[in-house]
Amino acid sequence: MNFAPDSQAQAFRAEVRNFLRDHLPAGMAARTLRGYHARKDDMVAWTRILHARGWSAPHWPREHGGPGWTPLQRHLFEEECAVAGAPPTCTSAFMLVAPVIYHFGTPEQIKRHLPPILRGETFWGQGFSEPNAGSDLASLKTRAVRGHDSEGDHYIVNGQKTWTTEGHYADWLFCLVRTDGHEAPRRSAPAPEGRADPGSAQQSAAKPQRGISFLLIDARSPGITMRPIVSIDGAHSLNEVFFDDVRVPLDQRVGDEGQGWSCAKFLLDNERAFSAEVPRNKRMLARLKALATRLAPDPTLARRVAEVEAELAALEMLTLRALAEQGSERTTAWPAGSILHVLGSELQQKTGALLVQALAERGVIDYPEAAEPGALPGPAAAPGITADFLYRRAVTIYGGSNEIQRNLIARHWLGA
Amino acid sequence: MTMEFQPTEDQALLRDSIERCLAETYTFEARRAIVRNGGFDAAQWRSFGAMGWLGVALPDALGGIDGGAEELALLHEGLGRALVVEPMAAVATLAAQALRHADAAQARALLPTLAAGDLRLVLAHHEAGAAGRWARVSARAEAAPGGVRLTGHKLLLPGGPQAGAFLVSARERGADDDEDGISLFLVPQDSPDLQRRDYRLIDGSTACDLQLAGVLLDDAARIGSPGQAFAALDEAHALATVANLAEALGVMDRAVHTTRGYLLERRQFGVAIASFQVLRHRLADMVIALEQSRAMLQHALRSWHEGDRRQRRRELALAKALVGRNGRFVGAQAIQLHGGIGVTDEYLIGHCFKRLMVLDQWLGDAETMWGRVAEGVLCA
Repeated sequence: MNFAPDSQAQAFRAEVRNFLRDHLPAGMAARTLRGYHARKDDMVAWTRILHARGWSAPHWPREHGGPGWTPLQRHLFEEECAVAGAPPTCTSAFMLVAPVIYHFGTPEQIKRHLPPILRGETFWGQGFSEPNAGSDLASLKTRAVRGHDSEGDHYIVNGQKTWTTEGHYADWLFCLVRTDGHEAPRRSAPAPEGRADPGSAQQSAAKPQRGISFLLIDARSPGITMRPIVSIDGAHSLNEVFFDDVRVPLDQRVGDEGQGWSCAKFLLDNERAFSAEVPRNKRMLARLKALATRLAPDPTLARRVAEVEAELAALEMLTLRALAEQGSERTTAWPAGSILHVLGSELQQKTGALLVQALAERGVIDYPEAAEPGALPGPAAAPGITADFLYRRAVTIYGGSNEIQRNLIARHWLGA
Repeated sequence: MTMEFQPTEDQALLRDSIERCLAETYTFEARRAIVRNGGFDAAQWRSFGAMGWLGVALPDALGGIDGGAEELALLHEGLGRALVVEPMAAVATLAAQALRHADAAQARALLPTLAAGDLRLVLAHHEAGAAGRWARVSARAEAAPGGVRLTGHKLLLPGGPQAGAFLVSARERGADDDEDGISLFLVPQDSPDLQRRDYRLIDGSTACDLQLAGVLLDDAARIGSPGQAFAALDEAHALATVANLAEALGVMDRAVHTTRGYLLERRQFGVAIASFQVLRHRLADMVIALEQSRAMLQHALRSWHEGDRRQRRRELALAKALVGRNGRFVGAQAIQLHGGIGVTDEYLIGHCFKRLMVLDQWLGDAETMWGRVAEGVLCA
């Protein structure tokens, strides 16, 4: 145990800060800090700026184009980016599918898909959830049946996916599909924890996790229909995806047939590792302090802000601890992912609620993203705050709802 | 060098020896006997000294074992888990560190004796309304023939009833919250005009109030330079806060583990109550609060190394508030999940709750500390 300051970390932080000062366009930062969903052109432009420096994929190993940073460096980088107002890169590509491809994919798949992601040329969308497979992800029904034609072996995919974030930007989709030719087996007892526990996958033949495969699907394939889902913030970032006899070449399956759940488990574990969202929480707290100081410097609000600040300090240490333990046997000693997810998501909601509170009457005005500055009453900083607050109702639901996370924490302590 | 969360080999040895020793000697039954006999066990105290625990964060030359804030935290987490009632943090950290930083010569003279367990020194600093304001001193030190005369009132001094001497803070100049003007005086517990009122706290430990009714001292009783004691008090309170947080974490850890055992063992409606989702989720919330508190202790340890003292005080206040809040939550829910037996004196869990209440109150309770931090939060 040693918590003395780390001069190397300070030097690295300064390096990132300088880079952001010199390379992050001011307009892009201002747009991002408002809190509306990032625009695709900003995301692409920022990915290219990062790529020019070799920093577009902080989490990847060096052999695939990552910068070779330690977990602490990655954390510092993301924190600085978030606070400065850098737009996100394509999370589904960089954080979700790419690690699955370089862990489970063939050399051809790695060569085909990773370089364009790195350069910001391809966007990806996730096809996991279905209308009747949310928290109980393993009950998914989208089917892939093998076929053969003049162009070779392939799957024919039929079904429906939902909640595909930025699917309308996507060039590629990664999907979990059922390849065993059966409906999902019925569970003996209603224990809707599939999404939360991909770990118990291969334990018995009756498990619904068996017979699921992981496919990479060209989003422009004939037979794919994308429909927007407008969320309560009034924006379109989510989509439904329909598959109607979609042809997918066999070499676009990652891992063995029927073993897709291993990829999903790996991916979801990665997703949890950054689910505390410390960088975003820092950005939100900075905004809250600035706003409240100007608009609502009353002691009651100040006290609530202090609570948020304390919880964020703890969350950061929890995250640093989880990062320090990554890859060691200590990761299984405590339910880190679930605890980080619960604390990080609830903190976003708490901070968001205080931001809205600081706006008082202006907190319930509908500020469309496209509205001209000054077109509506209220402080210049108001647009985006309530929209972001509304969208963030989702953070305690996606990636395994907080109720599922509490089930997992309890299972760790009490057994099944 | 990078932040290291795992104990080094030496730290692990220290932690294990603390756990082992307390598990053997400081059982719940042994503790009950100590509480029945006045809340202080002189033999335990001597053995704490013999094992080096009273000098964990003191240098070798002052009779300590040369540890830092991290080692102190390991010790107090263990003391918390065993619900130790002796005033370890008050004597071995708060008083010892104040003396160490105020006066090098006196520290050399007195601290080895303190670390050995033979001198019980208590810092008489806390006053009404001072929670979280370490410079708040209304007690006065005024010139008198041949020395100074102390007047004022100090309260909630853990270990006071067993103290051989007090290290008393009093103001020689300035207003109540000025950092400048505070001095420390060494006052034997049997000084005339030092009126002590002893009492028991709800957790079975003891404390006292002190009335300084014109205590006459000669100038040699002053520790350190006149009016310059604040820096030493700041160091002592910062480190004592770390000890306090670690101790609360230890109590919470014990409470959560005890509750886990109870949920698995207790049967109602023909099944273990650990099968009820509403209880499972409550335990999950307790676990989250526990891990959040552990992280906050680590944040405090990181802040301990912070050079800017104002910033350090602020971060420690945040930590004190959060851990105090979580301690009350964990303690209360632990009782709730035990049902009726949770409110009985004979069972452990209620004692965890009471210990957490006392730890929260000492050095500034959560409610007050949130207010203190809030004073600066919207202009920083």
